[in-house]
Amino acid sequence: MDKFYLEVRHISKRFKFKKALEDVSFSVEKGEYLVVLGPVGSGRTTLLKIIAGLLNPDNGEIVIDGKVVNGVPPEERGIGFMPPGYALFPHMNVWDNVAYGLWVRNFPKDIIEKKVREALEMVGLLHRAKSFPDELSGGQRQRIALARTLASGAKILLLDEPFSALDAILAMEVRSELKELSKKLGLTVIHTTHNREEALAVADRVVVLRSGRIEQIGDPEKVYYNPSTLFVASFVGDFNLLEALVVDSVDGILELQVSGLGFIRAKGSWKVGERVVLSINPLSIELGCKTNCVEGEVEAVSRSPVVSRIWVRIGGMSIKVDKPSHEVFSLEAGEKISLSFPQDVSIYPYPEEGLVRAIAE
Amino acid sequence: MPSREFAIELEGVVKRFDDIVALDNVSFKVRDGEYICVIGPSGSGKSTLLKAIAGLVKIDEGKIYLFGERADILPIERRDISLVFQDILLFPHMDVASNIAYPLEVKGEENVYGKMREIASAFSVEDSLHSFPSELSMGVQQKTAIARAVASGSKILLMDEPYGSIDPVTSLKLRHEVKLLAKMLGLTIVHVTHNQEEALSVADRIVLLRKGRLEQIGSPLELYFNPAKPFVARFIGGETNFFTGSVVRREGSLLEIKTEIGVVRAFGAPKNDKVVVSVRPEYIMFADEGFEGRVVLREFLAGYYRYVVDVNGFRVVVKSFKRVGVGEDVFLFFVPERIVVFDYPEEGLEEAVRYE
Repeated sequence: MDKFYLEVRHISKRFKFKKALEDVSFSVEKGEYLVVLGPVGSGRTTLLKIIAGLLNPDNGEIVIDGKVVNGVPPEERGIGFMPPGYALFPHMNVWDNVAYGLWVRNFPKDIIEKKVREALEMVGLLHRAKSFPDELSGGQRQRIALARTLASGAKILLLDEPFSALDAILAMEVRSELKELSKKLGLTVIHTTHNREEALAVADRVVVLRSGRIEQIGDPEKVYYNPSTLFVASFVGDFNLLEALVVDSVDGILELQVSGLGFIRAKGSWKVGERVVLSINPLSIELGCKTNCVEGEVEAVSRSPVVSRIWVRIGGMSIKVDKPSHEVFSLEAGEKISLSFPQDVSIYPYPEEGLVRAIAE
Repeated sequence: MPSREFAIELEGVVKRFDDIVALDNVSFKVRDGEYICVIGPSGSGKSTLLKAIAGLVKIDEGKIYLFGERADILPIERRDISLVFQDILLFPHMDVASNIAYPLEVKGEENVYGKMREIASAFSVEDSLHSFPSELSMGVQQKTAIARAVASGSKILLMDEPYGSIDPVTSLKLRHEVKLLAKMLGLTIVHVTHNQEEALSVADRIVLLRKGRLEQIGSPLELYFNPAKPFVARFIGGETNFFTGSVVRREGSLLEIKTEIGVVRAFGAPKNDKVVVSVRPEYIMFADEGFEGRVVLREFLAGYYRYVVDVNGFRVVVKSFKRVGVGEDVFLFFVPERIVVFDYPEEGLEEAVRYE
């Protein structure tokens, strides 16, 4: 029990027309960086507000350092809540932005002075104390918002979509800066986002939330490579999900009829006649004819520096393939192409509610 | 001399809005049938450039030629250009067929129906001919708008963020369809986008603007591998590493440069000895020898990793498929032909690469 610093126990919350959270439980270690990843409407912000004490749960407990804090007002929980977009005051300089919260709470002048100085030192921006927010870079504004939270004495940081206001390239620079800083300062962080790349990149562990329920908790690589549900395979992995029928099964090798694509072989122990869904990582599909070869046509290429995505039309299906960019510099839409599917794929039973609903956000 | 082989030529184009110079002496040529993407940070003058070519804004200095004819002095309706915007401007009370047929009718073409069918089928909207815009997805609406622009018969199509209102997957496919059609029909396209991945994927050449100035024009791979300035290196293709240093030895184009992290060997021809060296994170490898450092951060980027490696107290970003632990000591190898050497910018490196 004392291993975990913050525990969320069986939290449920209902709004008038909607269940926002249903029996959500997880624990966070001291100094851990946890990311709650989920689509819009999954309950991310509600969860953060309940932890912060800005909302009361219908059921369940929030435990900090072994003590149940339900009913404890937000300012006494030692938690800092950072809403999206930082909410810095544009007409106040950096120093005043950081001091404001303390000043409102009527701290003596010398204490404010000390706390603000310490907080700005921690984020390395004491030398910009006289600057105004619009004179700072996106990363610096982020650090000021952090300093403001730290000045209040918070040891647990709740970040709600912290990078939603930033351009993608800046967000990448800022997010790793923020993570490094939080590790250096020994902060415990819960960060919410809808952006899977951001979540996988910065999290020590990821909590995947969907419609108020937890789908999976684990370290980023585990969640990505071993999704426990079709939703996670789709939302986090962005994998190809293919409906198939088991038509033969001998010694752990299945012959599968994949709708719109043809026959492929995969490892697994399923019975002939079973309906399944294959989950195939776009990175695991090879170009050229080796095993499980199918012919198709390049529908589109999306070029990025490290990995490029190719959309390949095969029969009625559009298959996503990811390749190191330098291997596909010259590939163009319209070209004929052969793909080889791996024999090692994840196979899930066909969901009762249908594939579309099983992965719907 | 302006020539008919160029669909568009800009010569020293300047546009000011009060004190702001929106376009600052911009010159470049677009070949007939070329697909150009214009990119740059917000406020760099992308849209103004498009409007200047179209005649929606009057330029203060310079000249614009369309197919060798002086055009900046012509009103918009005489420039024979068609335009597509992010906001899809279809006639809401007309179905797809009438929208596409409209420019044909205005021009008094014969066999309007036949030509409309031809264009509709080229854009594969023939199944929606009798639907009204409000009944269609954004993707099909924009496709119809582009089909209508093409029906006007102009050889030049200007598009400002045409896929900005369309969901990413649809836009990915639509942009390829549009490019293929443009090539088939021999259209010249100038396409403004904030989406760099889009530009890298569809453009024959990219025009990169910053603060109203042309930073570089070239193919996507030219901009990516041979950026003309540090800003181009930073802006194209995500983040990059910069080191400052001085050339301590030159053997032809082979340079030995002393930098913060040690001696870098690279190819280049800087004028001065004070230089900036840039190398992309994806062209730094973990190797058995090279710059010695310690991994301080690892991020998982869905299939590969982004690392921050401390070399001599300097942070080097590395992207690799290889998995290395935080705290491990490593050697970094820079792929020599992917190292770019720039003269140290007069305004300082920080200012030279700033884009906020």
